[in-house]
Amino acid sequence: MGLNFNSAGIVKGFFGGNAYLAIVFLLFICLFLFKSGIGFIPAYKNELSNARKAGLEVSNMIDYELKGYYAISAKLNQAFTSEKRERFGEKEILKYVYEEFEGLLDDELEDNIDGYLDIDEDTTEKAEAKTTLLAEIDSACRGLGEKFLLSKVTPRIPSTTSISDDTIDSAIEYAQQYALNDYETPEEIDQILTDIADQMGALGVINKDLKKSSAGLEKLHKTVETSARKTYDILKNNYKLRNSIQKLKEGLVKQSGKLDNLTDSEKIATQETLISEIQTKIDEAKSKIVEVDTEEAIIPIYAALEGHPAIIEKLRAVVPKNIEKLKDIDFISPEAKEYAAAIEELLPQYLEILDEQETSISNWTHETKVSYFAAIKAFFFGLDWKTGSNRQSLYGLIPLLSGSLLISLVAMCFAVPLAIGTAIYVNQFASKREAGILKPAIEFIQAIPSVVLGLFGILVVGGLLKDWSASPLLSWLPGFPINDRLNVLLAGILLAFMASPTIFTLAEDALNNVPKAFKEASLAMGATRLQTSLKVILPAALSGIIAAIMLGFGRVIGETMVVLLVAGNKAKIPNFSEGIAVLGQPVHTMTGIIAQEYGEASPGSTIYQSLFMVGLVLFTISLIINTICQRILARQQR
Amino acid sequence: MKLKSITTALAVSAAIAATALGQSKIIFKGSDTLGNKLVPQLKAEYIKTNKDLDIEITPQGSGHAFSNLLSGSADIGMSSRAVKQDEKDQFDAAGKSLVEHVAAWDMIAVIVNEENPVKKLTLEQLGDIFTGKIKNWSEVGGADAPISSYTRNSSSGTYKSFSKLGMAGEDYGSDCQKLEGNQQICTEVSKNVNGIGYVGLAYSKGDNFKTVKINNNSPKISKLATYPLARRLYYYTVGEPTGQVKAFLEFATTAEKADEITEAVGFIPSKAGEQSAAK
Repeated sequence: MGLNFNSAGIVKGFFGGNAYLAIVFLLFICLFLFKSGIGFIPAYKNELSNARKAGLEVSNMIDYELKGYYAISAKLNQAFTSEKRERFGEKEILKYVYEEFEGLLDDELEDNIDGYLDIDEDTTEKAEAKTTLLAEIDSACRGLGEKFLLSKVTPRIPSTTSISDDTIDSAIEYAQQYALNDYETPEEIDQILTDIADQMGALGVINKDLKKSSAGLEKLHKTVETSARKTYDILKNNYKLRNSIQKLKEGLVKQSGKLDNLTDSEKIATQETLISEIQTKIDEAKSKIVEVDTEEAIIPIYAALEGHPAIIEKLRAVVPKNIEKLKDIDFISPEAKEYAAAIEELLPQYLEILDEQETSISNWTHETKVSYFAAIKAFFFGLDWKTGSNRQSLYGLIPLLSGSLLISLVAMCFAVPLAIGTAIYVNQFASKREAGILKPAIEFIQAIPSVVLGLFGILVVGGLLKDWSASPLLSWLPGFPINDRLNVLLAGILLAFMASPTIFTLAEDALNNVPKAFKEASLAMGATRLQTSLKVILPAALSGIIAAIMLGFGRVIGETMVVLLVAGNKAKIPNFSEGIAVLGQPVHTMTGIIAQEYGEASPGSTIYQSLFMVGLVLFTISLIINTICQRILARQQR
Repeated sequence: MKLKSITTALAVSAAIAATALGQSKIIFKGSDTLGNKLVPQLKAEYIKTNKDLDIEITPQGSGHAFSNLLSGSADIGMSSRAVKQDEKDQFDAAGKSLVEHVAAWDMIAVIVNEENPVKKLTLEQLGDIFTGKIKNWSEVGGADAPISSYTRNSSSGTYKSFSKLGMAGEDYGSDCQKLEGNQQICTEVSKNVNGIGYVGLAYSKGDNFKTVKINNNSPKISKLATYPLARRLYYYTVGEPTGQVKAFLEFATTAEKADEITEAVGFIPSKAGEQSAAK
């Protein structure tokens, strides 16, 4: 008889219900994201406000000044080291050779040395053992060979061509002392570098003077930091305690609620002890809350800051003067010369930092309130993502956003030409049999689990990419050879591979949807097949292809497993000043950070909420991309 | 008729299988320092005599130990750090008590590439490398090359222990690359001449990388008292363990065979560790 009305109704209802379930599910996810993430802004505002009240904010500013200085002093240190090695390398070789011997003794001769050391009394037996041991050490050390030792020295002192016998002899002597003295490195060895540093003349003086010049600022930073940390830690701890109390109270209500349902007297008794235990814990937490007067605690910081302008004034005079002196030095080492030039370039930037920070520090006051807007700004435009800090956690989106976008762009650069080209070929030129092989093969790529692709990237592509980048044929390219194996380029290539099938399938559909008449008319007018494809079919399918590209982009930016494994996960804004070489740097991504840090985030904590905020940003990006695609596709159909 | 009997047979056997599986099962979750090598090997030894027992191990990082214990989806939490206050609060609020068992002692080994000539670092230099103050190997006596520092991610207990023991409690610099596990750090360091990373002692031996001496001490069991990066590893349970869980923990922390395995894997058995640390 077929289906009667009722069963048809049920089936229809079932299908319809499933369709609406999708919408309910979507709404549920939106709600969940908002609910979990929305608390972030007030929580972050509170943290920022605590940092300001405690004076940690001004300590950060001084730290920033110091960092600029460290950038210069690190370069100077490198110049100094390169120059030192070039001039007094021979003396340093002794230290390096000795270190190899010490390592050898630790790894190979430990039992023999222990055997000797375990003999307690000064007997002839011990004297004999000593002679044997010394001979063993001698032969083992000589067994390493000059070539091996040279391979350890040349990375540090490139100009070395040989190691003299004298050096090896005295290194062995020191190694023997090391063994006899119960694994104590001889002082003379540690002394070598200090001795050489003393003989470096003018460069040594400059290095020392520059190092000394920061002492004032470092001391100031320490005073401010210690004082601010003390207050901030108390505020942070109080916040945590209040959270604990909150949680305990919720637990108390829940456990008390259970009491009503119990009838067994024994169970009631245990439940009551449980409740009283929670109550004690609440009282305990309450007693730990320390009230702190921030107004009073901030006074020493202001007092210390009064000395700040004078310190900066001095730095402004001393640093350029010392850098000026660098020009007079005749560098033997070419590397040292390069470093010296780099320092000169850094100087104006550093002076600028000093100017900026000096004004902000003198204008700084702990009294200005942190607004909600400031907290939102600190999230969306913050330049640091630093969670789980012992000091102050920072939740700035920019490092993650820039990493995600950079990887996606690289991926699209590879995927778009590849996928669109393939789509045009399969749709326009390939024979039926060819298309029958190509299409399923490409679509099959989509079925590869992303974790497999990620592992493939780590184990195979990453190594290949690094090796190729170091080959002389390619190393002239900007950014090559690549230093880090896990980087933007690797992630981009793998994601391109993932996005290609999506783009291909949708683009091919779009090409298919172009009416046959277009092609026939074009061919009839005498156009070649290539002309027809590129000038008639492609423009007609353009909106569909753009939609395909955008959906591919959406797929790439939301991908997690691959980027987690191969992007290098360095939460720092990529250094775009390096030009194209930026592709060789590791980055962190929005999806990666959620996967990596959620395990540590206890529900309701600021970091937990911040991860949901990142999730919301991702969600919004996907939503925008999808909306645009639908608009484009709707227009095409009209 | 035939079909029916087959389905019945299938249903019955499935039910039997289910009860057999459900009979006794211990679920481990948490630290990958413990969960990748030590616990699986202890399991292999233990089920030789307890054939019915099913042990499931999911190593994802210490943070997961506590969330899973709280929700009841784990019987034993493995952690390479002690429990944090806010984690403890959650147990308190739920009226559950968390019991700590020392699983073993571990040393965090600092590893560099085999070709890197640097053999020693002071604790201060080590800290400066990971906070980002030192960026070039030449500053610590190596070649003139940039340092790539690899760390565990923040779900890891080792991540926290290292910051406490190796960096005087300071924060990691923004140049650190956070990787997914001990093994991935070993892989990256072995393939990057300029890499440096830290791993549990059990992972410190391998091709193409080597450990560095810290303050003139190499990570060896005999140096436990003086090596600056030594720490305890823990098992956690909700309440005092009972039944199978208790039996397993007793085996894992006191049996001679278990101590042998612990040492073979590269950790220090808890008792021996406590003794030499007290020295």
